[in-house]
Amino acid sequence: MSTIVIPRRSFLSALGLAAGTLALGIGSEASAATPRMAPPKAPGLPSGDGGFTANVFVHVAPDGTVTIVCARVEMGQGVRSSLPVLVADELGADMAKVKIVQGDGDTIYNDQNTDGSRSVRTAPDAVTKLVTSGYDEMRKVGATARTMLIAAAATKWGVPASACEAHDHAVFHSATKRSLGFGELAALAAKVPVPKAKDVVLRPKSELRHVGGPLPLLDAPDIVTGRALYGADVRLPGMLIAVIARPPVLGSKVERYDATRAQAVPGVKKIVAMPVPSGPPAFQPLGGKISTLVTNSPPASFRPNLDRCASGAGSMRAGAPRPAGGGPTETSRGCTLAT
Amino acid sequence: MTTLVLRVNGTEHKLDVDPEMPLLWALRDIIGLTGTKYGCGQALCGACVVHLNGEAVRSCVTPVHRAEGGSVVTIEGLSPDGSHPLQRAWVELAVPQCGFCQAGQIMTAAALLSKKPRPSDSEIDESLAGNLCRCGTYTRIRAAVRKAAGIPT
Repeated sequence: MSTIVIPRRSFLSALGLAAGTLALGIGSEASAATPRMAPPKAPGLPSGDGGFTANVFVHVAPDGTVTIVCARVEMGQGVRSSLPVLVADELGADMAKVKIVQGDGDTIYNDQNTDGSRSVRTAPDAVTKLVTSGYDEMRKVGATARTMLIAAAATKWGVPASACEAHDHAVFHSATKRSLGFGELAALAAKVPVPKAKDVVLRPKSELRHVGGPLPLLDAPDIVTGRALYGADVRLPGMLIAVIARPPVLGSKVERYDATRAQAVPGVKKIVAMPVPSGPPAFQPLGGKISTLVTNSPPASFRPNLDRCASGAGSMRAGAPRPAGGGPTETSRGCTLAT
Repeated sequence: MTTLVLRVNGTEHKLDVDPEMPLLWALRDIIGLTGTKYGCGQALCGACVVHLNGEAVRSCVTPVHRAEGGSVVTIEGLSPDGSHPLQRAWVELAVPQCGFCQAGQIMTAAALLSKKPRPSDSEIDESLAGNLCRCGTYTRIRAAVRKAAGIPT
């Protein structure tokens, strides 16, 4: 089994840190010409610690801690392990010294969508916007940081960068048996110009330690204790909850509905007939439906049998007190929201 | 509206609610314990399983008044620090995929192990037959229950 250890606690603590160190692009031609000295927009990464922010995905702190952003959304496919490990393996990092932080919604990461199991297989290039492989892009992220750490060590030792290599969280010059840890090199690497894309060379696959092997499930401790937060668990101030009466048939529309009794339920704000979509369903909601907006404090008498659709075939219960899909299986001739 | 008193994870709560409100709603929306999940709302999937007086119940169809004066344990209260043998086994074997059903799975298994510390495979299967996992983690779930029970694999 895996021997990778990713400290859970550190993941959360890293989120609170502000941004602002040396910003560099992702090994692009554009950013290579003029390294930007202004504080980077690298949300989620540590800053002001004298460390090395290689790009918006990876930071090396003076104590050696490497922080890697997973900018994609975890939906159970394991990207919070798989994407950062691509960066870490290219970097030559020791996973025990790696923190993985979640990239909040930010255009700096380009597409953060999670669908179709494509986070690793395809992702838009951060610079060109072209869709390439997330597998390759994350490796480039790590390889860029590695190239800069090696350049920092080579300069310090006065040896060619090509004579140095990075692994086990350090840069080594085997000819003189010298090494410097990533943390020791952080401040120096922060002053190294971003390499041109052509100068960033990916490792041969044989040097990737964890890629392709078993990885720890980063969120497992939170999932098994009920702390993992899902979309339906989020409560925001003033948030309303919509209860949806869905149609039983694709493309159906609401003929009529009687909202009188549903509207009378304490806490219910409004009954709304949703617009009927046109064209192919694609990602559109399935036909016309009725939405009930209730306050964020659950009305006391708001019950699952609120979604009762009356049809030509008799009374049917949608049965879902929350928008969770499912519903009656016959054509609805008119929906009555009953309590 | 009635004031109901129930104990949840060792803490007494006085709830001013419709006694017919599903226990799940009281736990998630009033008490704020969101570890228990809403899946189907019809006792078909097992995502909402909690312990009521030691028994596994489906909180989405359990009126909160049934817990009046009783003791409820949710996934948050199964152990103080995630150290219940099932929780440890779940992490070690990386059981969850998306994780949404896992609180219900674990609570169902915990109720089983409290009565049958070393259940047979068929008893494990029977106990968990009503807990659905869309990701299909069933084989790891079974393995983790056996591991937690100290059954050699």
